[in-house]
Amino acid sequence: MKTGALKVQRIETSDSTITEEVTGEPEEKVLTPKQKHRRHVIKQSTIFVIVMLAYPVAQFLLMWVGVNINSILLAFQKPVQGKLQFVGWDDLFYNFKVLFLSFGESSTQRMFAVSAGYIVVSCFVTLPIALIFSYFIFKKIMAAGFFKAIFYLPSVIPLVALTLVYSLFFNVNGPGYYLFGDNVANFFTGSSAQWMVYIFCVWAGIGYDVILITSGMARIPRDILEQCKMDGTPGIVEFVRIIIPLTWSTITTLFILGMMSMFNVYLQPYFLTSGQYGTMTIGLEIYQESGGSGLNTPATLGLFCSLIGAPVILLVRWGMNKCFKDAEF
Amino acid sequence: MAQNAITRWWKGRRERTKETRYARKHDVLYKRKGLERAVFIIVLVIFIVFAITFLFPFAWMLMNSFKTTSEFADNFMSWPSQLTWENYKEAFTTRTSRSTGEFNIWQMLGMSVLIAGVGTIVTVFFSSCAAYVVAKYKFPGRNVIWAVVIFSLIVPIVGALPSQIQLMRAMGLTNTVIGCIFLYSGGFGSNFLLLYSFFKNLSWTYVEAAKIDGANDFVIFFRIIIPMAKGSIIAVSIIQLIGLWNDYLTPSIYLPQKPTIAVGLKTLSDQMLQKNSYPLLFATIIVAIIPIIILFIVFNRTIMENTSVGGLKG
Repeated sequence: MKTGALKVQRIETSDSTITEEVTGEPEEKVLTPKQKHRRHVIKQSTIFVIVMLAYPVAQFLLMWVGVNINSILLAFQKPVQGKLQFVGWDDLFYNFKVLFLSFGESSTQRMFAVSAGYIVVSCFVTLPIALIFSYFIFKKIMAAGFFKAIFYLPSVIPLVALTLVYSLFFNVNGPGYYLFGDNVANFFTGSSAQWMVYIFCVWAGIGYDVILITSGMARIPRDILEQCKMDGTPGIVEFVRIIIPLTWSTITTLFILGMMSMFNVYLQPYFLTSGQYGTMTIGLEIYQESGGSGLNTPATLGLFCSLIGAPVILLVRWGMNKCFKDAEF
Repeated sequence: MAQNAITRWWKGRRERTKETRYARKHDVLYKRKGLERAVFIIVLVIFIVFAITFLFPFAWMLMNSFKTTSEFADNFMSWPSQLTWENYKEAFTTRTSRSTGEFNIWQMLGMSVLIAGVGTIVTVFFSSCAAYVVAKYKFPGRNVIWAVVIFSLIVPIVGALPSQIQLMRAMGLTNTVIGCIFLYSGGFGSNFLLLYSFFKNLSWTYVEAAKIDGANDFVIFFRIIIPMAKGSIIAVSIIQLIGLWNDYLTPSIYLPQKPTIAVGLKTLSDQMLQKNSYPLLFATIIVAIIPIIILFIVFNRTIMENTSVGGLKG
């Protein structure tokens, strides 16, 4: 019996089970029962792949691709009678001009400087401390499991509760008063406010990094460590020459995440100081401005930061990946 | 029966701890002498001090949550003269101010359970679907999906929030639970990566056997793969649940009139700080964090063993 058949494209599962996908023009072909069964399987697998990916892909297209395209469009709109409209070809970069003008203001300059400070805090303070802590936990310091759990605690407590506890501790009615006296009254209101936010980020951020780094260290083969022990390699040499290179991929990822904190940190200053006393960050500015109707301003700031930040971060990532060869173990 | 289960669990735990201690004590890798030992002792002291900085503020808060406001004002470092549960009773009945809608902590907890619970189920389900298909099936566009997912995770996109708000408003999803869950329901995040690596290493033998028996892909996924991936899925779900429970950004923007505990706690604390009701505030904070602390205590091993990140290969 002749039936109209379709050209099929092979779909292989990664473990060599073969299915096929219907793709092309119909062609005349005689099908045996075995082929018919196979065709049925092919159709099923294609439907399965489509059904399984339909929602995740649609959601991603809408909420990531769509949102980012719309974000670019917003940077070329301005509010006219309460509605956002295209700025026009004559003054296409209107929002960017406004943004660049704001760079002359001391508050904007401070905002960028404070935000850049989070790179230092995350990459050059929190990460190195976490790396050292992780090494000792990995080397099974006494009660290592207990410390690991305690250090991770700030990562599971809602940030609003954690910031409250931290600020109440350094309150005139808190234990901090016994340590610092009347000075605590100015901790979150004066020039020290920014330092208090930075200290909070280090204090609360170490545990998360520790968990990730110790997970990376746990994959190091025991043979290597035993060899070091037998050779009498000092701890510091083992740490620098063995542990760091073998956990480099995790360190790189954490370093990149730390760099992104320049743009991402907003809730910590929001909860601790409401962004006052020179603690405003880029992320907080975008968050607060997004509440109003002038969505074009935060979108432009965001686009500008993405254009500057993305290449820099990708370059750093590329450079860090060049430092050590990735080890498979 | 429950008591027996707890006793069995406790005995098992004690046995495991004993075994671990014994193994550690006799492991050549962890035998230390001289300077190395001294360094470890110094670091141990640093660890203890650091751990105290985490535990002491909560202990202090717990202690003061049993005081009256006047007793707290008299001495905020002393033990309570008598334990009063009034602050806890009041914490459950205090409502947020009228401008943001009147909600008590029960309603906020309920909203958190709903949003975080449903959000977790939905996102983990879709992440599992996507991760399984991308890991195990070769089809046109598979590499594109993988590349785009990695790209979206490593490239910093700043300021997409205004655009997201505009889009959510246009779709009429602001101030709805569905809108919040829709935002959480993405299948291509860190969950995807964790589950992808699990599915990638999963043996295909059972699936082949099932195929020979005539099972279709859907049956295989729901009846064979999901039960096999139970451990990883539970771990990812717990991490996700904690993340969504603590999330402030999404509910504060898209669900301001139905506050979750993370959002409502901020409103309540502002109210209480204005009135200087510190013991009540402490009790409220304790009540708000207790569910998550219990979850952490029960699943801490699962959470920590599964919170890992490697290099993102683009």
